[in-house]
Amino acid sequence: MAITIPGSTDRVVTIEEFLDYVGSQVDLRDTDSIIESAPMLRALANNRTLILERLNRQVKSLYSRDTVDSAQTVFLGKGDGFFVRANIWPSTADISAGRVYQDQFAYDAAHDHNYSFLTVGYFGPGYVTEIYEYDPDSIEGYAGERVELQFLERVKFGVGSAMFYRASRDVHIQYAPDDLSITINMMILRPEVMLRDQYFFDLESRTLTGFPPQLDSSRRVSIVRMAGYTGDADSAQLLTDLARTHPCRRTRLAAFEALAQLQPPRAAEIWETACRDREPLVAHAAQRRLAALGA
Amino acid sequence: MNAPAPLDADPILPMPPQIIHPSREVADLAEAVEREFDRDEPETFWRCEDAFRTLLASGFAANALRDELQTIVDDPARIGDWQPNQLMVLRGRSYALSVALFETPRRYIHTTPFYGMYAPLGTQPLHYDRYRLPANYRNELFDPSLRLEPAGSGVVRAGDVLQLWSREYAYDFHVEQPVLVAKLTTAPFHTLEWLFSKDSLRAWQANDSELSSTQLRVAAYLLGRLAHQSSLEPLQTMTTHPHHAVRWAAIQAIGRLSRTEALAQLERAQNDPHPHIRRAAAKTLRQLESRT
Repeated sequence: MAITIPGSTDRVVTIEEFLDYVGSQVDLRDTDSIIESAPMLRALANNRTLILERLNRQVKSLYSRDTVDSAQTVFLGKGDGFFVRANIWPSTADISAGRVYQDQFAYDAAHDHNYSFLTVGYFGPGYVTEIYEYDPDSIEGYAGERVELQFLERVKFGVGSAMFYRASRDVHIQYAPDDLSITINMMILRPEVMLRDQYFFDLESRTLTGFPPQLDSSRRVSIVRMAGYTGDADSAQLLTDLARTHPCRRTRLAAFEALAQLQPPRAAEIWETACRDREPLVAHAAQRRLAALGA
Repeated sequence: MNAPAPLDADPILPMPPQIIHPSREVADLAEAVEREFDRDEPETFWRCEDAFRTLLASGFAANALRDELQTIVDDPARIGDWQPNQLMVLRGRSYALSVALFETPRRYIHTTPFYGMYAPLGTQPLHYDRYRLPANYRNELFDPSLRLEPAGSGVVRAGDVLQLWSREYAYDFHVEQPVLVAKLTTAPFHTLEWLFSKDSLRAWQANDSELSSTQLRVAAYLLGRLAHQSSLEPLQTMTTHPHHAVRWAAIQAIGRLSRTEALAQLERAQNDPHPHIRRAAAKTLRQLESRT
């Protein structure tokens, strides 16, 4: 389950000290090692000028450098295989007044993450979150699919709270805090993150409802699908390679779709090949396409 | 997951032209736009149409997409310069070239705070409705009472180019079949993107046209809440920003840091070019006076 990490510290470290510490002391492949770094993340969160100094710099430069594509995130630093950012959690009043847009971290929408991360409360009363878990190996990964979700806990994530979220296993839904809140997160960038999906869930119907469009794999899928509208023989060969070998199942399915779009007379043959894909997501979609073709 | 490396989601960056998919044709377009287009005179953008048409005839989009497929085959985990349903091809100092898939209709009719030339690629035409912006429309002054006027429909076929006359019209694209579209666009010259209801044609809301404006407004609010004197100088630099909402966010944040400086800024803001700022400044000063 998502792991609440008890403890506190009076220590204060800079972002540079934190990045050095993680780079030299933490094995990012080992969950225990990451969790053991929580006291240092708390020490970073004790640095009361951390966000201030970064924001002052960003404002002076009019956000011309070192920014991320969100107004709700403040990039703080990165090392090999991880990065650190602050997340802004507006209150309902902040959103209503237009002071902070709710652009990236949708409240009231249950979701998992395709990466593991360690998070600590930095400022404000903190959001309330309900945490569930699911077994990623038990799902095909299509919108509308039923998912076994097990409720774990409900937590108010205030200053000093620390938690570790497991990639593609913990699902949480967050509710707006009573007042503006900030967390500091260390995100773990394993290579598989680029290939793995993130999902939204409907807790009432216990179904998977979709994928964030900004997700790496969603953007890759859209590029592959676009090739289906303007490709040539070379593109078709590349799509065939992707359909056979790409490790992401949604990318393979998109490659089959693009191929069928490019080569309508070969559609039945393409979907018959897709029926033999190792992942049910691809194979079942291919069966439906074949049925629709009357093949 | 959003890449942690320094980046900016605005399609147009203040840096030398970055040709993401190098080819002679794209380089020629970049050269033509650099030569013909002056950001301070947005109308000069239309001088680039011939160069854009030449590019369209070159099959650049198929080449760019094929290059992307090759990179994914070579490195399955690679993430390119991709937005959802959009491939960036060229980022100039004040313009951008991209290929986009129009797949689902938008819920609202959006104004385009930039000039653009859109050209469908492939066999599907691009259908659109055009609406005239109200006579008293001022981009920086959102007014929910304003309504669009229908101004006809059109179809753009492969080989044709639709010019987006964004100062006069808003466009609503029909998407019955997905359409691949080449887009050559300028940097925003308006601070706001307005959204209109498709049913009533009334103005619904307005968003910042540039992410950096939103980032600055949020940063000002945070700095006000963190309330440290070191933020005073950065916030003062924001009070001359072209976007009125950024200027006002800075003044509000200064109000949490220094009463003296806030009063000085409010006095100055009574002469702000934006009427909402002038009104808000005068109202705030009156409230402050009544409390003392």
